[in-house]
Amino acid sequence: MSNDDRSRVVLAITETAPIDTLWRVLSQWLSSPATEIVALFVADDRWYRAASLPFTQEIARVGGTVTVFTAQRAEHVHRTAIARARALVEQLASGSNRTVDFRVLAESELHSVCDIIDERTEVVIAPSLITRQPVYAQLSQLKCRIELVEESPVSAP
Amino acid sequence: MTASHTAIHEYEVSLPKLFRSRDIEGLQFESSDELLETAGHIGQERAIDALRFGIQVDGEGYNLFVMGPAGSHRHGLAQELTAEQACKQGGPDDWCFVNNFAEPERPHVLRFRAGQGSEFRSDMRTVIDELRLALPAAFEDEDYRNQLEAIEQETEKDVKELWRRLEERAAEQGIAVLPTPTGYVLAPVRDDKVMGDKDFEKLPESEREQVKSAIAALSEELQKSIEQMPQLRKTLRERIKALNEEVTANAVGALIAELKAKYKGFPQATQYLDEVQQNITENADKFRETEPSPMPFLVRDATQIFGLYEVNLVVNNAGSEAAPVIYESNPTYRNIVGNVEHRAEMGALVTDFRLIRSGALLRANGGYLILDIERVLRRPFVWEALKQALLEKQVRIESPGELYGLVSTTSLKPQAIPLDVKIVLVGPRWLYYLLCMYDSEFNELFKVAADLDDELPRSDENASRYALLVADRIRELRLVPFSRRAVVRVIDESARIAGDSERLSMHMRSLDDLLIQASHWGRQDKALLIEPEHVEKALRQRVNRLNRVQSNIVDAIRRNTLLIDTAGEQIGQVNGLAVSALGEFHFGHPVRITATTRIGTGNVVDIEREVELGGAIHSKAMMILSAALMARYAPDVPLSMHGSVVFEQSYSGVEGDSASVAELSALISSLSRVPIRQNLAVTGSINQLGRVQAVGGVNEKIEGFFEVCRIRELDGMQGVIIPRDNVKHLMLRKEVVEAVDNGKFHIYAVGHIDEAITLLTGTDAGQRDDSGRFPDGSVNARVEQQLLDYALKRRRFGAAKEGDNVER
Repeated sequence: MSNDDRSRVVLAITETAPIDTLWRVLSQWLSSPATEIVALFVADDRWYRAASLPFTQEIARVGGTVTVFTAQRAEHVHRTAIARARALVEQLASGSNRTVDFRVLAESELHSVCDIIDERTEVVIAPSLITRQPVYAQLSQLKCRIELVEESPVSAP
Repeated sequence: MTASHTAIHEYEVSLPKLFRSRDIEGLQFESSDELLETAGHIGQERAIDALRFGIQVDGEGYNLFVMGPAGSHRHGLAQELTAEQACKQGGPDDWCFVNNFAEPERPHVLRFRAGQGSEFRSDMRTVIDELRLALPAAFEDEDYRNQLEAIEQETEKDVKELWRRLEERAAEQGIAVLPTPTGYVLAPVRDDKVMGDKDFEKLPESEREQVKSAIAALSEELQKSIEQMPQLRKTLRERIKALNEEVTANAVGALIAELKAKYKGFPQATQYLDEVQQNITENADKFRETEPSPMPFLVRDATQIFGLYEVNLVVNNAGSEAAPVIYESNPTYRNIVGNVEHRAEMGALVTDFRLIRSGALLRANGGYLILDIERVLRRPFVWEALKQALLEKQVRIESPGELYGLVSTTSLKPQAIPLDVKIVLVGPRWLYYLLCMYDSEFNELFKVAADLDDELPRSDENASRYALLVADRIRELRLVPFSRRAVVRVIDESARIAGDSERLSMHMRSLDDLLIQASHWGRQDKALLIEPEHVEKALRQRVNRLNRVQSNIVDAIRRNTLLIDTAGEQIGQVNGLAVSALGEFHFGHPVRITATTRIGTGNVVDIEREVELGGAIHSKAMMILSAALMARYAPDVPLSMHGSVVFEQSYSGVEGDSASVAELSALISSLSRVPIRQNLAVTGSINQLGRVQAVGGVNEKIEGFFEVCRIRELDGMQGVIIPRDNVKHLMLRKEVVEAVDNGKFHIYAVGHIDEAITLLTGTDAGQRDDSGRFPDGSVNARVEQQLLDYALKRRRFGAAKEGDNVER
């Protein structure tokens, strides 16, 4: 079987997605060892937008101190979120003796989602909150199956 | 005038007096095995009375000092009598150290009746073992887990509720709470999307202000919520701690209550048990089995934590029904006082109450501690520590470094233990008197002295008891039994050791050595009974092992390297006798003493003193003999002679007064020009009136001269002159006695210098008649005449010199 013949399972994740839970659901779809896993991090430019407002501040979790939320800080938070998600996904894959193709889908490149989710894609596993994001409109137009997983609200400190 | 042969014989000591053997008339036996009656402590009644008094009397400072020479059985006596008294007393208390939970560096001490200390330790071990299982089990119990989960959920619920309300309020106002890795950002949202500056600018002014103020208000609320989190967590911890304490108290309470009931008679123990319960309850968290630490060597596991409730039993008298009698043969500070040991942990030395070790003072508490004072004084800090313990009546286990401020690191300061002990010091007399003189506290602390006698009178009764003692020692030392004759020979030798035919030596080590060595030679002969020949052989062999120096001296005399005449006559030259001591071996040998005289101013020069080789007693003796000379001759004219006396070929110090008869005899010979017999040697001290007085070592001195004469062949004229008062001390060797018996050697005893002069010169010394004159031709007459001549010549010489001065 060539690489192009292999089936594919896509894990669509966001910053707040419960990756552990999503992985458990994904595991049920891995019928063949040859199934390709693609982790698609759907980026959100919300940090940059928030930083563009002159009055946005960041309140520290420990001690409650307040600092100005700059574009530089937004960039750092954004990158940290992607890195953390990637590390977690790779750790879970390693635990299952699988490899993952980790990709980042920028908010400005949503149209290219169809390049990733093609006819080989058996299922897209995504958090339920993705339905409220623009990328969902793109996903809905594709013919693949979408499995939504319930996401818990923002965790308390 | 020549002294008659009969007169000389008057001074000869009769054969029976040379060696007085005494049969044991009171005891009938063939072998020492038959003497089953114990001898007891013969001759030590005074010391035993003192020891018993000291051991039994109550009162501060009634500790003992047993004094006597090494080998006098002083340790054995002290141990036997203290053990005798200890049996009449009950077993003393047990002592334990336990953790002081409030101040771990000051461990507490617990006191129990004998045997109960080990029981308490065992009970605590049982409790600890049970807690090791019960506490983790209690924390694993489902009921506990449910309660814990409920508490945690309750807190989590509170937190979530707080958060939910905040998010709700934010959402109502179109604000999103975005979590960053380290905090939160509040941002306006429209259509589920965080607004950027461009979208925000499109909002009406009023709405923009509304958003800003909403974010400001929510920020404040968020900050307050964040500030509440630590308090919520603290409350959670406290509730969990309270739950853990409750669980622990339930697990511990029953076990401790049982122990408290058992030890209700020991208030300190029950108080300690309360502290244990409280401490375990307060530290309940530590007993839970948690996840293994990434660095387990840094974590104190439950085994170590439970160790803090162990009992360190430092004095265990379980099973002892008598008071302890401890002899500490190596009285170092730590062996006497105790010490706090340390163990290495991660490169550091650490300690706790479990590493406290008791010393001899604590082990002897309630009883007796026997110590060798010489060893105590040789070891640093021990004497001061011992006195301090006795003065304070308590033992503080501290390292000497801390005691004297030499170490600044923190260590333990265990609670002091009350001390009730009697110390029995054993040592030589000189140390006792030295301590009395120079240590002001000594007399306060050691009020009873037990002075062991060195000798006892050689009565029939004592000789019989001594025979029993000999039999006792033979049995105890597991030697070949001694025949009756051998026992008698041993008793005779005891008199010889005492240096007195009328006394017996109480030096037990000398007796033991003789018995062991005689037994050895008997075994070599495969003898079933030790006979006198074996005793003789033991004595001979001992001398042979030790007499290298003596042999060298005798050989030097034989080869005329050391000049000693044993025949002929010489003016101003006499054979004196000296005793040398090399360790425990004493031997005598002759020394040549010469004197010269001439006209002078009445001085007798002691050359030994002039060159600082003469000791104080020898110098005193020289002054006495000078005074005797002045008092005896020409008392009405000034003494106008100059004399000098010297020990020839003597290259070391001279001490003692036993040569003063010989020295005066040499001076008299020089003055009278009457020669002295060189086949005689003389010993004895003299007083100012010419009386000859007893000296020490008389047997060795006689034997020393005999040996020199023997190697030059005994001619029947040789002999030794001794003081008459020394005759009772004679216990001469067999070969000397045999030589005297065969007329080959002679022992003469004199009481006055005139008798000695008569014997030495063969000429009558002469007594003053009614007119105050010595008989013509007598030695004394010649001396007096010579002194008068010196005086006359001196006067003439002085007058001539005066005339010269006038003419001039």
